[in-house]
Amino acid sequence: MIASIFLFLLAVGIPIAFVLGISSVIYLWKSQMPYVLVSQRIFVGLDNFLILAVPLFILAGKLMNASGITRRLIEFFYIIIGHIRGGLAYVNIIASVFFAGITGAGAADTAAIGSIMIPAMKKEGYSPEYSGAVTAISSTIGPTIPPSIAMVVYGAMAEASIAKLFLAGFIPGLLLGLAQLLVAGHFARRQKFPVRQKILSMRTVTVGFFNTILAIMMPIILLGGILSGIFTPTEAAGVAVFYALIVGFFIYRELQILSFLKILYETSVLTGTILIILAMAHLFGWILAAETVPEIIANAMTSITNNPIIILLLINLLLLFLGTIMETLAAIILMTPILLPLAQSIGIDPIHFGIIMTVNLNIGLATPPLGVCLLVASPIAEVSLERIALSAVPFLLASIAVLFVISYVPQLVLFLPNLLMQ
Amino acid sequence: MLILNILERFSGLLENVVKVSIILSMAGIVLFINLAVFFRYVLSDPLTWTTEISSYLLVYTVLFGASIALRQNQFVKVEALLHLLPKRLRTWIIMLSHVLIALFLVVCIGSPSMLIKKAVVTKTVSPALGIPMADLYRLLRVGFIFMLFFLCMSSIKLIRDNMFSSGDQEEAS
Repeated sequence: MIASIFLFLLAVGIPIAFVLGISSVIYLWKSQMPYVLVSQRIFVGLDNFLILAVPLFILAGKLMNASGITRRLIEFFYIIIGHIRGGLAYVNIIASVFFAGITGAGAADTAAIGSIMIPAMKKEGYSPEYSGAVTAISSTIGPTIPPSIAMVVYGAMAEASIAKLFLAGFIPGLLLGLAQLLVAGHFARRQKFPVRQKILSMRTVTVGFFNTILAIMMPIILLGGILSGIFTPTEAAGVAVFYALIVGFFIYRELQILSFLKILYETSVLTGTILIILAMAHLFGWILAAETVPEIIANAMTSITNNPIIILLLINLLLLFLGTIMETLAAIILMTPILLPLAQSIGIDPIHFGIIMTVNLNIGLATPPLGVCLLVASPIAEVSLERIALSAVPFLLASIAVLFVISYVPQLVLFLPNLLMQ
Repeated sequence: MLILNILERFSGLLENVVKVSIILSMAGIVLFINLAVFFRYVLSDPLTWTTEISSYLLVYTVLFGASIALRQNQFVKVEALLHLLPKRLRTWIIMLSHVLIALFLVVCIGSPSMLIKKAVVTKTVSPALGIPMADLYRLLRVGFIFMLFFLCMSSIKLIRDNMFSSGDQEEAS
């Protein structure tokens, strides 16, 4: 009953946060429970030190872009690998992997890297749709490589260790990057992409490196701090913001007070739209648990088939579908309480499952109808969303292949956390 | 029409107040988290209250930020199906959904009453800073009131747009 109301409200385009809230209130009303639960659960859901990392990572990413850190990272990779055949596509992908080392928000990555790389790629003769597609799809790697907002949200929902999730994301993230580099390499050879005739001198590399060192230091401080246990993820995010502010205001001097205020404002509103869902999910999740819904779903699934391989396949297909129509973090908040018990019942580690979810749902960032990375890339490349989406298909297939590899080979995901954090 | 204009101006004013407050609150979070790190690692004298205040600031950043998001129609939703419907029907559905959301927000506004009463009677205060919990719950209510107000404003706009332009405009809400 609640399930059908929920799906109906979702289908008619009511914001997800309110779908959760309204369904919960209907449930409270029907079972004659006090409404005080609404504000209580919302308050407790938000009063959580861990999720403070979400706005801080968003803020750090925006500040990196505004302070010129991102641009310097891209320029550095451009110097090193820009001259080989198809080099700009590689620069684009590798910059995404590195950029991800700081924020892990897909659309921000597309905007930051795309606004520099897409015009550069077009100028050197790449087609606009290919330039847009490479940018959009490589942005989907970001949230898998730590630090990652998606993992913080998953960790909060699943009560899993954020540091372990971060470690677990490394290998899958690098695999995604590698897979996309291979596809880009294939196209570079087949379509004879331009080669920039320029000899790489030791001098340019050194100068480039020193120009970028402050930018490269940022992910190292961040991850080093979290993984060595010096900072909590929230503190690391806070320090990252501070670092970006210092570099932006006093060293690179590209950040202005007004743009800083604007970024604070944008971050707050974005945080509101994401975490209000989490707050409402806290209320709804309580009801799900009270009604043992996850167990019922898990039992229903396991009564159809007991084969963990098929169940994992079904979960992955469901998530891929959800990823195309729903915002990533919303989908994580919504599906974790339902799917995690099912996954655990077939013996999947919660950390492993978190990575599967993150990789899976982020693929949807580059697929229509709701592919924010495509939406952002399309106006920058000045080409229709459909053509970019079509151009992105080979890359998407590569990402899906990696998804299935990490789904069925848990060692790839769990190797690092088990090695370093027992 | 006059009353609508006054309302519109008031909501513009309110929007600015909320904007400033979320900017300050976000800046506060950054400041307190960094203070905490500084005091613990540089001065080896950890502060006890920074965690609490930044968590509370987050609660209000989210609620107030969400009210602005509601005003600017930035909430996350699944619109794929909605776009398949004819425009007239779509407008009706959007209006209906506004009514549902408004009802829900009314419940939210009423909901902290018990919490506030209890906190007033027991004089409960927050553990580190000693802020009366009743005030914190009242602020929660303020956040929902802002959301309801901005929702009503966008409903008025939706109705007005549809009355005067016989459904020509796209995506009013």
